[in-house]
Amino acid sequence: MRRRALFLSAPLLWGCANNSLVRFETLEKQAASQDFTAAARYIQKEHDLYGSHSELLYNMDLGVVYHYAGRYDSSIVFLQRAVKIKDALYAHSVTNEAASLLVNDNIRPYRGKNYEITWLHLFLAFDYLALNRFDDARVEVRQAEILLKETRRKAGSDASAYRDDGLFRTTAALIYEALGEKDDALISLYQAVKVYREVKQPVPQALARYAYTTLTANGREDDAKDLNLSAIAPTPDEPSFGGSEIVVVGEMGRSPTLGETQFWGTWVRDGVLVYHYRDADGKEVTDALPAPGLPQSEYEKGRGQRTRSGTTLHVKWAMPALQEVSSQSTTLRVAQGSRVYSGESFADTRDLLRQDLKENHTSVLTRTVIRVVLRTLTAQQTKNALNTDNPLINLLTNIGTDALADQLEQADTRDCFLLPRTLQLVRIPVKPGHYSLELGAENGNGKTLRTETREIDVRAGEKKFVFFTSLK
Amino acid sequence: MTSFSTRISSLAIAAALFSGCGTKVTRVSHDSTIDLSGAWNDTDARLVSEEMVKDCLASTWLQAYGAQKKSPRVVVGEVRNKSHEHISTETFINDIERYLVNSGKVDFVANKAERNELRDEKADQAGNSSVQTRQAAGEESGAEYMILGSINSIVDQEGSKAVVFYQINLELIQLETHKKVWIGDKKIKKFVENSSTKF
Repeated sequence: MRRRALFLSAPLLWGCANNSLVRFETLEKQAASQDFTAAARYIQKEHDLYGSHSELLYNMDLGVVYHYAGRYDSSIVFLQRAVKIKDALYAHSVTNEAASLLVNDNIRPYRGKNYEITWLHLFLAFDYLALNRFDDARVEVRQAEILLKETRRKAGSDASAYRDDGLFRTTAALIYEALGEKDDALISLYQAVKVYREVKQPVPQALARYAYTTLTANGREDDAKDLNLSAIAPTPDEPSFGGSEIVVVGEMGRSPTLGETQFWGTWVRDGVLVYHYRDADGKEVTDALPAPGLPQSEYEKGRGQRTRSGTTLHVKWAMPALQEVSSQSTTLRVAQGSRVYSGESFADTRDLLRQDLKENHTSVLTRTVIRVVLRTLTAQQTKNALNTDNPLINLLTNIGTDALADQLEQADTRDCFLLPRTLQLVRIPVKPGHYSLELGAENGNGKTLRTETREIDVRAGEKKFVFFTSLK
Repeated sequence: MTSFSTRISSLAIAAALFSGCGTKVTRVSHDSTIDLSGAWNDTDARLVSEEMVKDCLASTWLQAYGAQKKSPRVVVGEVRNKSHEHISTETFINDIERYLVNSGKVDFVANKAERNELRDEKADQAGNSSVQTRQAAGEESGAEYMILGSINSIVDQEGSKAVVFYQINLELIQLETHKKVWIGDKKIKKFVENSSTKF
């Protein structure tokens, strides 16, 4: 009987070790020291840390790291693999979903967060742009457009849900413009501004200026009006639609990652789970969720008195929470001749990760609570089955079972923390010719952290994309 | 249970567990149609080249040219991929070139990239090959027509279902006059349905 109880409860009490922290601790240091080749070697060597359920993340991490290292061909290989894995994961495995209800969310295949999947295509487009393969970059734009259309459809009227990406739309506009596809470029430009308006974020000034000038100059005054854009005094170096230019993309700072927040609570006899947690300011928050009533065995302990105290169970679990990662690189600086340009942030992964956590909070919490309730029941049954006449052994068994059940409850903290904190753009209109650019990263006090010099050749009407990474 | 039956049961369980492992390869005919993901594949490329060759050989430009009792010289220009998939246009363009050359009605000259490679070789020969075997520069056949084209796609997706429409356009343009003498197109429509659950 005891052996059978142990055998039956083993799979429910089994969990996979959470390796996100191990990965983070090593890769974070390598990213901060800009040693991307070492990071790529580490990822490949420690493939097992990702486990079989995180192949998408493994390939995305490698692709992003190779992109930073300037090895665009290798980056394309791994990012394309990640896209294929994402497509293959469309079908949800009934077995995995059921298993995750018993073990923890880490047993589910990692499908990527919505913004990460958009950025998967964005980074692929960046790789192709770095290699001057504009047709291939357009393929990535088109794939992301299809994806975002579906994301928007699924989001429906949920205003807090991720539905589009302003940076992606801006990049798409530049790619279409470089390919001479005027209408697609203007539509993407309109969409870029619209996304920032929808998510109630300030439209990057350079984008607002360019969108207004370009839309009105091409007979789309109504679009400019609809977006509430107005004439802003142009700067001396304003890019012109279809003109040749150098576009510097700055990948600055390190993205926040996911840690765990502990939740604890009481499962009350009549089917309510009262739980508590500490919010970002350390303040204790109390809330309640409906839960199934306690099993008959628990009532029996209370000798049939449903209202007796003691017919409650204490439960504990963990939820993913945003964990800040400090980095100094805040501003992109580009010097070309006597002119110095400052980068403007078009996207911040902190905002995107925070939005993702908020959007998925209820579904993760519901799934976790169901699991915790099931596991608590199993632990209780295991304790009953292992009950002996020796009070000391019973005490040790109970402590051991509870400790094991607590250990198994791990939050799913998988995320692509190798993405930059902000993506910044600098557009420099130029005449055809050869240019020498000095690219630099500055901290909040204007101190230069690192610089690189790039030699660029630009032909008539060409858009040359240059990528600069500073994760310090 | 006897030890013999225990062993048999263990073997059966092991066989069942390992039956899904390993790679199985089956040879199939090169022109068989196998659709796995719904993405552009060899069958689509084959359908495009077959249709285009048939249309090109039957069109009036070739008959008009045939009256001169010589074959037109054609070069392949850029076939741009404007679709949502990474499609190698080379596969069906090579097929089209092969069919047309083998028909004996059209001559193809090397494309831009190939010409650069050939010129490098000639430059190398000029310094290293004997005078008798050296290939002269400035004797290339100039093309009279250029093939240009594009692949476009439209995707209409909702949930697990998608309708994918491809349109492939090829144009034959007279280099001297920029006159379009032939326009061929091929349309392919697919309905793709993905399962939303699996075991």
